[in-house]
Amino acid sequence: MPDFRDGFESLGRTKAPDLWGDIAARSPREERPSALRRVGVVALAVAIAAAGIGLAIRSFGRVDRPASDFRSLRIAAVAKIDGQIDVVALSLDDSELLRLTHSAEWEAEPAWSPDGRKVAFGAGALSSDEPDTRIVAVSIADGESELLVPPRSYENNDPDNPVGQPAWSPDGTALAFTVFGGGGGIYLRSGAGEIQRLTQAGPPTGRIDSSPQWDPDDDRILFVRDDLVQGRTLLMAVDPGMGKAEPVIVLSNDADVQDASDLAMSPDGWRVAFVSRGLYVLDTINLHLDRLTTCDPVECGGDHSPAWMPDAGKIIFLRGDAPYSIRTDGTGLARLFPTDLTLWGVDWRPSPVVATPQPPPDCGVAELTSREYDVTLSRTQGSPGTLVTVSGPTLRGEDGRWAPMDGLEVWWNDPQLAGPEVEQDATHLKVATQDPGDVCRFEVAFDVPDVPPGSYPVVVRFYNDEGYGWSREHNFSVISP
Amino acid sequence: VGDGHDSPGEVERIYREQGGQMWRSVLAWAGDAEVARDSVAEAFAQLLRRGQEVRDPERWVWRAAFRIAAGDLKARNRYGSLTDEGSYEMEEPARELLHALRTLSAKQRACVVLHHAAGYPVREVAIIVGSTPAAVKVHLMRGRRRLRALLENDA
Repeated sequence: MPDFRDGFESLGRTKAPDLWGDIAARSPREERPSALRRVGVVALAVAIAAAGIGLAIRSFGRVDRPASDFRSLRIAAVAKIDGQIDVVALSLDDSELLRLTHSAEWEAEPAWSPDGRKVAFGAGALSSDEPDTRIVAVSIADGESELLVPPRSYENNDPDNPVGQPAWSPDGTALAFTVFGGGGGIYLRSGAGEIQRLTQAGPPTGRIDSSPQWDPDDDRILFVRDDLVQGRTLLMAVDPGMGKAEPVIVLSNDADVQDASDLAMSPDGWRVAFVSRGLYVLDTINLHLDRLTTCDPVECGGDHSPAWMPDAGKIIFLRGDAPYSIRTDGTGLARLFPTDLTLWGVDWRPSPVVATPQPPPDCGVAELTSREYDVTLSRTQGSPGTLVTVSGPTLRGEDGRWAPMDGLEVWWNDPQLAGPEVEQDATHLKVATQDPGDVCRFEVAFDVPDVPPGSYPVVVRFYNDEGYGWSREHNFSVISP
Repeated sequence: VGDGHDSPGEVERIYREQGGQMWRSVLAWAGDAEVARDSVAEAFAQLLRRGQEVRDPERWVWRAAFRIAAGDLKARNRYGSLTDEGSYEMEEPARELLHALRTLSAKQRACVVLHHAAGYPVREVAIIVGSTPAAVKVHLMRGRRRLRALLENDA
């Protein structure tokens, strides 16, 4: 019987061309043409929305809802609560909220540390004649705060031109940030707390540097440069060790892009999202630019503050003051969760959740929309039991965030099902819910004659393209055919 | 500061050791010898240009080659077209495999090729394709099942 492995062995014998001459001959740092996808034009600058102008200020009388487990907090945000602008951490369904600051000052641009334990943000007095803006980090677990960039520790002493936009290095030791105005540019705070200016910007130079983002693959920091003299907007890269900045692409060469702000580097380092006349994604290797959204700031509030989900498959962002998500191919635009909060900036917790799957708040949250699925039995080396994969189930949560699911894994812990009689890809079985609205109760009907009827303890893990999921132990009833 | 690479000699060593396997893997994924040739050459050329910026050059250049191939295919608006089958010698089982791979989704194809042609373990495949090990396992299972069905039908 032919097997795909024979094909791969045969492919391995295919002679590959010698490309080294071609590699060596390719010119250094040639600018590749940008294949821009133009979707249309929105006339108003999204920066207006990003600055929060026009956002409704509402009073909620909200009280803190302490989080039972901080691992459930996935989103950091700047929110208006009880008349104050504070930093909060939110669960995905807005059912839990941890207030990280209680101050009459302003806070902005929250950024999770790579280990998900801290949130850094810019802060300052709402009205001050002194240059008091600074960058602070707060621990999620105990609320301890740390002053990362003190006031006047950078070259800018203009109180109207603050410091902000913190961006953690991939290992979480260093921090890049922006200083606006005189003495402006991209700065670096080392792990030892030393502050160093990486780029020269501000009024004397005729340019504005902003939105630093660390490239997780390379030791470089990407940022946006507005060249006011030549009227161009560029994506730049600077080596934090050398301090040498180089252009990556002239974003404004595309007629669709006027300015750029709110850079957000994907966790895999291949793409960078930014805001111009909508939400855009640039492939940093091919320099392909895709426009994901079109949102008039007046009519729909404007899109801003993009942040990547950990698997780089989706981006969350704010449309006006409401959280939305969209797939990176531009599909699946959806409200992330309903909230009565007014949000200004969001960031997604970077830690992958797969390692610590969370139980659902309620088993009834998810719903199987079909009662039967074909699944395949297989044994996975090193696994505690036998892996059962369900082909393409669709789970739909109340807010739609579980749909569509990419797969369902069932780990059979019972030795009767993990024995040698079950061969890889051997047969099929069917999984059916007793109640489509209750994922806690399944029945598993086997077509396998040597699996005896009975009740089997299994661990079920749901996940989707983002890799998020939850696991729960169930007793599955096995019914003989 | 990462490990990086400090000389063109190191890049050439990586190319000599892995360039052929990378070309075959990208060929299997893209189904287009010209795309494979261009993406592998461009990935190594970019690795040369970036020098010490790249902390893990071997992993980086694999990812770059696939990313560039994806971009080239997108620009040409074709996936797995196998337009130049006659331009390189290939045994019949390999040619049948390439035809069968065309029917897989891009992510399934990437997982299957990286695992079976490039020899990466599941965890590494997940890092390269930007997914989770669990999702990669599912893509591998679906892809292999599809390949088996297609190759059996062809026999």
